[in-house]
Amino acid sequence: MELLANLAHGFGVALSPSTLLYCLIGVTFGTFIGVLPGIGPLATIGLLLPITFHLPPIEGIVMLAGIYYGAMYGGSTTAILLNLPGTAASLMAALDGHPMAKQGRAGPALVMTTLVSFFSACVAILLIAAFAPPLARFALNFGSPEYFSLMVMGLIAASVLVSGSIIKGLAMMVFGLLMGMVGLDLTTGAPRYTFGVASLYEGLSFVIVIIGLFGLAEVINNLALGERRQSFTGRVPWRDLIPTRKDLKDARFSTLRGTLLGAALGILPGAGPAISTFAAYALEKRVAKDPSRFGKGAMEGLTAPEAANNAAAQTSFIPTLSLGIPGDATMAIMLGAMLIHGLVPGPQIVTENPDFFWGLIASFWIGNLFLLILNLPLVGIWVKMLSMPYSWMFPAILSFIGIGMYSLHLDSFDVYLTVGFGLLGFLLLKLRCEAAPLLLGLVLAPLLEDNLRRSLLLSRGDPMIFIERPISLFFVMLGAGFLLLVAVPSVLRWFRSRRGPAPDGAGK
Amino acid sequence: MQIRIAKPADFWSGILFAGVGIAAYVLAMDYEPGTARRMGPGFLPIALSVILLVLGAIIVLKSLALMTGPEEAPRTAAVSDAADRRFEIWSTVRAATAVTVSLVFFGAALPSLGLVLSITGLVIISSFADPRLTWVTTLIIAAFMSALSVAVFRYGIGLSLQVWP
Repeated sequence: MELLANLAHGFGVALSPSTLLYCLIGVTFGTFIGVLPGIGPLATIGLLLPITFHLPPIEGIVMLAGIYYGAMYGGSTTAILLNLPGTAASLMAALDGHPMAKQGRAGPALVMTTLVSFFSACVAILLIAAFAPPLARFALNFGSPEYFSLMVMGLIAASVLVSGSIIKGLAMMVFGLLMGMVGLDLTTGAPRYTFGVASLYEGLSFVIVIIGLFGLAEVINNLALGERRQSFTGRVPWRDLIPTRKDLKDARFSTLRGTLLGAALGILPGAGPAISTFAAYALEKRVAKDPSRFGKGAMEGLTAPEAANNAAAQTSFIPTLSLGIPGDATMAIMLGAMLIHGLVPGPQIVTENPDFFWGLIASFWIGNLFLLILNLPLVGIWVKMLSMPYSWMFPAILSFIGIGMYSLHLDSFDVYLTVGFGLLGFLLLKLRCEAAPLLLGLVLAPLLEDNLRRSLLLSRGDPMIFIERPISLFFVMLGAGFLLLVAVPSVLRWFRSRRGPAPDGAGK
Repeated sequence: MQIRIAKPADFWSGILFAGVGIAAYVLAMDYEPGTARRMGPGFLPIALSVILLVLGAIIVLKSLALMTGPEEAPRTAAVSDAADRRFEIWSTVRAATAVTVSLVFFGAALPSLGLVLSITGLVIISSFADPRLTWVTTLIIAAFMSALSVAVFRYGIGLSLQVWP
């Protein structure tokens, strides 16, 4: 019953009026921004992150967690109504959700999404409370070699699992690691890639990179697309909001399957919510009696990925909190935010800062409850908001970016740097390179270098240390496995396409 | 037999990665590499830039196709005619320039001109990115955003930002 006592302690922390208030603000803002087309959860969190800097640590992180859920939820709303998924994770929601909206069933689709999200998040929160502390205890045995191998494995997993080209994912990850080298070397204090600019001595601020690569790049892209961007013109009458009995019945098992699958995959570092939604959708299609309904507005096709997405979003906090290693780019931002507040996630956080750990978990639940209370009545308003022209929104977004970046250090250079990354991000978007692995590389680079240095010091320069230690060997093999699993088929395909004039073998 | 670029997006991203790899390597030559046992500040940058260069080179090679017969596969999925293409380039350049100039102006102006004028300038400059924005709408957005930012950031959060010059 230690679990219940801990959770009760957490609720004690999270139920303080100020925490509740910031959680509510976070969820509201997160949904509000996340629902805007072209701004995915990553960009939303990045845009709102500066607001949390000025709060006390627990309130700041709780608000950020609220923003995260709000953004995820808002993202699915846009995906369903406009068929504009902001992330890979909400891509699957659009697949069956948008056809439902076109059939005039946007209301039930949105309401079911909310209900399903709440359910799967509740289940996943219990799992976090149960598994994060034992994992943290286990991780106390980890030395530098284990951490290094685990990080390499996570980086590989995150890069090969992106949609599109694997090798481009890997290159983006290495690019990110290189960007993480900017600043003073931790041990020798030698400046690297700073070009004599004092602001760069602390390293590239990950907030600047996120806002540039995700937020600003999206703004430029949306503006470049111009009139071709679609906007929502349909209407959602109030009485059509309520799901039918059949909807609920259809969603029962798919929700359960999606939740379990998502919760399990979310724990793996690097896998994250995106993969779990693909897997959940595929699973539903496989177990369905009539797979042809999928893609045409099947309730299972909407609820299973949505459940998986939320469960994975929750459980991906497990590696982030207990190992200090983020599972995906969003978690990397959360980790960075915690570090800014002086909270160092890792095996010790559960014992050393129980207020924070259990308070955060309790606030996950409260955040989800707010999401439910807030979104059911507000579905109509989100729909209204989507019919607002983008012309009115982008100057506001740019203003927030400008003020937010300047206020980081009250330095204009940060604003210029953001613009630079915005242009780079737009270029990468055009070249179809996914920026998520880059971000993960950037965040993990200092940790990776530190642990590599310590490991090699320990082994007197012998790299065999990574495969001589069993836990480390396990991670190395897992990483190699990921690489082989995805690399082998594409290498084979490539060889086949070179031989003989097979025009379709060259891929997309 | 002829070599042609089958996948331009891959080709150029490969060039980008390889270029960054070379630049990072050249810069990292100034840093002490040290030994494996005692890694210097240059150890990882050198290793990473070589890896990036290799990955970039592989991406470039993969994007090329050896053609023996006449061209068969279309370059990209979207078949766009020349006018469409010109419009796309024009609107892209316009968007990128307006966004860049507006934010650079904002960064330069904020310390001396204060929040209200900087935001107004940012909104006006950025409005060139979207031809559908009329002057009246732009000015309304500028006024609204100035008021909102002063209220939220100066008084709400309490950032020490100048409001007027």
